[in-house]
Amino acid sequence: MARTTPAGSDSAADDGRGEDRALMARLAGGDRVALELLYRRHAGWLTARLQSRCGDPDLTDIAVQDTFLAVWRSPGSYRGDGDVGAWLWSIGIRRLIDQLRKRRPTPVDPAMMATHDLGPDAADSLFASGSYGELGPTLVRLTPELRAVLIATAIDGLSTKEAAQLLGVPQGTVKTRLMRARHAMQEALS
Amino acid sequence: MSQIVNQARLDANWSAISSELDAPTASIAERLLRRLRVPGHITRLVVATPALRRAWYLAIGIAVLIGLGSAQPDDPKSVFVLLAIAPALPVLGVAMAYGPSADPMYEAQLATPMRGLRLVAIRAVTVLVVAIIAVGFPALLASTTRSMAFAWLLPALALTSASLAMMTWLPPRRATAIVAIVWFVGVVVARGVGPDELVAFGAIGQVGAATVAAIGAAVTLARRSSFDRMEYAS
Amino acid sequence: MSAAHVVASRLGKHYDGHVALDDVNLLEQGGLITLLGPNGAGKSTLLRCLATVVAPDDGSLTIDGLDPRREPERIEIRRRLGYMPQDIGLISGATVFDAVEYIAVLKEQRHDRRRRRAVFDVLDRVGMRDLVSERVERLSGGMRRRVGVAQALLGSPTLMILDEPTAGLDPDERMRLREILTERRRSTTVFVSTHMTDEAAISDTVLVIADGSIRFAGSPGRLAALAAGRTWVQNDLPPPDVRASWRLVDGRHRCLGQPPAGAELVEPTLEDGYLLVRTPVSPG
Repeated sequence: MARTTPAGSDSAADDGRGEDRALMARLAGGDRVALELLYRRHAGWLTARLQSRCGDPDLTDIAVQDTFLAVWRSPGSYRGDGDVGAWLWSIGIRRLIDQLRKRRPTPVDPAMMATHDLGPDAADSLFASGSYGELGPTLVRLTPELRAVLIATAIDGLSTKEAAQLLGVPQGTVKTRLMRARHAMQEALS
Repeated sequence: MSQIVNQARLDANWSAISSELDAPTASIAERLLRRLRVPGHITRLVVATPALRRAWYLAIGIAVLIGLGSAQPDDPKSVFVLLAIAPALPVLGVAMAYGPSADPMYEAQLATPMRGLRLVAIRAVTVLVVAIIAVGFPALLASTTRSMAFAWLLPALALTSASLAMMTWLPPRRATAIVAIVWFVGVVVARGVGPDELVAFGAIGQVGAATVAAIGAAVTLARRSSFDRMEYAS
Repeated sequence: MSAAHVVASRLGKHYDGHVALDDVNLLEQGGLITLLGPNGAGKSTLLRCLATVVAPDDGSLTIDGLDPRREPERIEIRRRLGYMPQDIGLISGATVFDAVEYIAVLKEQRHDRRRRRAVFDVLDRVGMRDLVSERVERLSGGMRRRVGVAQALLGSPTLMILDEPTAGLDPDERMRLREILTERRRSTTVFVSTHMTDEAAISDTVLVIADGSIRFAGSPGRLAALAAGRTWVQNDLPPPDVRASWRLVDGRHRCLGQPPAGAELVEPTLEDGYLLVRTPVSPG
């Protein structure tokens, strides 16, 4: 599963993750202050990224709120060793999909899916091995529809079904586009 | 990122989260209603206050008793009692659900945008639904009562409608008392005078009830602004 | 939205032959307006008319140009209104949260989560957030009033009407409640009734009402100034024809009325002006 938190320098990132794990431990014990601190640490990027996936600020707000409510109510679903940010993202994106399934205010515009948050982390999940330098510009060269399915599946870690719900297209379409996107990426990178 | 997500928005979302965590847990009745897809805000109105809840429990209690009592087979009298009392239940509910004697926050409620009639109607419908279930269900079970199981419905609508119409002139308790008395007297008289026990609930009775219901509704609608003002000084 | 614009012209109201309001005229927008008068003067009746819960018998009333006699306009007025009646009548057996949320629903806040947040917000502003689950019967008088103010704050009204919100409260609680209200004075038109003159002193406008009619409308300073040259201090017992007098700590007497020649005049207070204006000039 992709690591999708913004990457920093290694030692700072490790400190960050350690602090996150400590907060999760306190939170599981019912410490509300820990929840707030976790919120202050992560809500910023989570809100921004969720909104880049759907474009509707109201739905995004509800998804963010739902995420942290879910964190509070079932802290046990966090295994205790992984990246808390990635775990939050997996909850958040699915909460967003829940909201989109309930009501889709405007059709999701694939061009809205920003690529600015792609970092070196993103490369690992696309292909099994090797590093590929600047992925961003290559992704940008894809058409918006292809880019959207690639981001949804490879980077957001959604299944094809979930990606279909996020983007508001049939599951078959997602699979086809995914194949074409991977093709196009492979060609562009070779 | 800062354009999309400013501090105010982050604070607002945190405020929403902590409000959700601090919000009191919903009662069983509320959760049931929500399971039945009743919108949250309507649920709050219906279940809002313990004093009003007592009114519901009372109405339900009476309704269940009637329903059980009516399940007596081969006893026309019990059917008569069922059909005579059941329509008065929503009236009781309406009387207990509105006005200064029933709702301590009456004055503050008047000054809100929600129409008074809407509030009364929501509560009246609630009592009606509860009464239908509590009375109709047992009545359906007994063979003698099955055919007449819902003969009390139109009269119930008529009485509720008449009560609301009267409430545009008189305080709730007086209005509903008058309607209830007229009903009981009328039913008993019809029973004594008519060819059989249940004549009041036959075809003529049903048509009459429907007419009264319609007229009452029209009058209530026309005079609905009286539910929006303090008609009766304290 | 800017503060509500309230215009009343020749308002009248009578109950069973008793005149509750007589020829009341008002023109207010923004600020804290205190309605000062004794019990039975018509304060509650006037406030109820302004809050659209009672329809006046005579005269006209418009709020932001809207006429409460017409149903759709009345509803629109109520969207901009926060009202705290004299008897807030919190539902017994309910919690603080329930009571305020009930009003939130009536104020058309349908969205569950936003409504809950709004309830917490207003309770926070009156300092009652920690007591949300407290049963209403167990609250002190001051706390009940704060809950009453909280429900009036729902929906960010541009017109707030509070009927004797501070009656029976101790000075700390009174001050606290006034602070909550004065915060709003720029963005809201706030009508508050009281019979305590010290509260009137900090408002923008004072309306003195007695026997159903407005005896004075203006700033607190102007009300006090009405008594200029009519207040003095003297050593001897005051004569019986003074309007009012009271004994000072040092044993001297402070008097209000027609000062004798050479009297030691003192600065008039708002209370002096109020007393002068409230009682019609008694014969003899």
